Amino acid sequence: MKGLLIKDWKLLKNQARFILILLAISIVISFLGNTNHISFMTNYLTFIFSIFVLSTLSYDSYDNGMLFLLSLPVSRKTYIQEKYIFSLLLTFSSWLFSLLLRLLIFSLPISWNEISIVCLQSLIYLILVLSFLAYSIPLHLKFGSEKGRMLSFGLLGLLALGIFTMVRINHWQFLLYIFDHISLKLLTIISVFFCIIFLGISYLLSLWIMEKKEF
Amino acid sequence: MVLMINHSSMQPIYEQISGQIKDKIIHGELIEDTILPSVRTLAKELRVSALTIKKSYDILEQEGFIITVHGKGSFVANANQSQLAEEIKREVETEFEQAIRKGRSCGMNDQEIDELFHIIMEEL
Amino acid sequence: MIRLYNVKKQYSQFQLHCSLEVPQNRVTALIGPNGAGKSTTFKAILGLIHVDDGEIELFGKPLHTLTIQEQATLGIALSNSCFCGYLQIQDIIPILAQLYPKFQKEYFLQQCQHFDLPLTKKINDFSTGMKAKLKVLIAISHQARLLILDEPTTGLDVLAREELLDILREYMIPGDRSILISSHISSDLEGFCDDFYLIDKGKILLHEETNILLDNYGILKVTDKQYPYVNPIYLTRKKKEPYGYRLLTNKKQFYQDNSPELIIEKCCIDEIILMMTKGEHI
Repeated sequence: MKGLLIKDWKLLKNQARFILILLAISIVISFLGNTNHISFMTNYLTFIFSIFVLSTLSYDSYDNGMLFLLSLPVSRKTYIQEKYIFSLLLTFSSWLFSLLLRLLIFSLPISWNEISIVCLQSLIYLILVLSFLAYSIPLHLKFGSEKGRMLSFGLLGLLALGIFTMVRINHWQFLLYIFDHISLKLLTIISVFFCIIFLGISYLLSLWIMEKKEF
Repeated sequence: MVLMINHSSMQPIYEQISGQIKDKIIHGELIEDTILPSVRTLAKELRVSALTIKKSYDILEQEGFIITVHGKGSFVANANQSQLAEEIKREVETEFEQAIRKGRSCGMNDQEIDELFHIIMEEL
Repeated sequence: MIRLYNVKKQYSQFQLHCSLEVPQNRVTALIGPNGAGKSTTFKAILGLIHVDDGEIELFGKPLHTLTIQEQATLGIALSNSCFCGYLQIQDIIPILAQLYPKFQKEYFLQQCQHFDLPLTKKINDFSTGMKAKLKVLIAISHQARLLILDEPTTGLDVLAREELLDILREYMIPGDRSILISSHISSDLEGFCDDFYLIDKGKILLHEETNILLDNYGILKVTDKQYPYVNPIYLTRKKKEPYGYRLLTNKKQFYQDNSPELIIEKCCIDEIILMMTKGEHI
């Protein structure tokens, strides 16, 4: 697996120029812009890094590359494990970096309250990104990179539409009810729990898809 | 050991190889206890399949010209080679006799037999 | 080393049904026309496709029980697939070192230099010949016990092909290794492989040792008049020609001895393939 990690890392490095520019832009905008710009930029950064694993999936299958990869001494299981580990590593490191960036830009010293709000917002965003990964990876594996991309973003769009419609039909009140009666901490813990389960299901699904696949 | 293979010849390759090695042994170019190249090494040199070389070596061993020691290699067998060469010459002589007798009994005269002999020699 | 027994795989237009075996210290060739099933057979051996029926064994063990260490003793080169094209050779060296415990970095670098393979160029930008050399190089640089090479010489010029084959001949010298190789260019394989499997339309038509194919098989060229008088006992295929018939025999000595008036030629592997696949059965 280490070999595969090195491979994906090398692929990432190849995109180094692009990433450095992105980092530079995000830092610059963070300094110059207002708080909205900062949070947008840092969130965008996390998102880009976390979905890089989907690019590696696309690189891998380019030009029949999967035939070669699977002829190497790696099992299909190891291949999937490596993808998830790689994506989690990238997501967490970019998320931490973004979080620190936000906290630092928020001119120190700041109150604990502000820190906790920022952290909570970041955590929610992290959960959203991980959820996106959770359903995107199996889609990419099953349907290939092009269709997979369409499907995962399409699904995202559908979800957004769904939420929008819900707000319209005033189910907002239901959510407000939840927020009033369940502490934020508990809500956070439940969300994290669901995220982990979601990722777990995604992993098992990916394993199943990979085992069945023929080249 | 220099061996030359004629790929266009009708003579099987393994025969060409065993024939040439036999020749060298009989004429003293390869002396007793000389180690022969390994099957794969010779296959590489001559650009033929290893099984072909093995077949040649097997024949040579059968006819007593070489000895193969498992794990060590193939060696030119000891003396009595001239005796073996004599043996083979005797066999060829007998076969010639048979062919000539057959020809004569079918009504061929000596000149025709001689001509036929030379034609075949050239073909091979 | 490799054993396929009664392996069956059904595709919509094509069915693979074959058995083959590669013992230790053997170079076996798998040849046949395009679309015959060579690549499918290779994919089956490597577990890239699931088969409907039959047994596949590597190193005497069923395919799915192979450990990662055992997998690392396989050297593989596939015809239409290579390392991710966006990487460079210098990128893949640490990857290979990590995946194959016996990877020989110095030898690999030395051969890259020898074959003029640039270390800092994207693999996508390599020519076909360079990619072919790289693939074989990767396969032979980690002391594999078994090489499985699918058309490794495709895209190479004559000199490069000879060089590659020499490297493979060198590779076989220790005596405890095996190679399964396929190629369109049978002439290369004649001077290297120990035995041949001929596959067409998913079925094995022929399995014979090289020396028998080259020494015993032959082509008879006969006129229409001569044909009825030719003893069909050792004839396997016939093909109509403008001059009469072209016949494939697996014992040309018989016809040389008994029918010296007939035109009898040595044949090369390509001609055997042609006759076995396009000729009529006798």
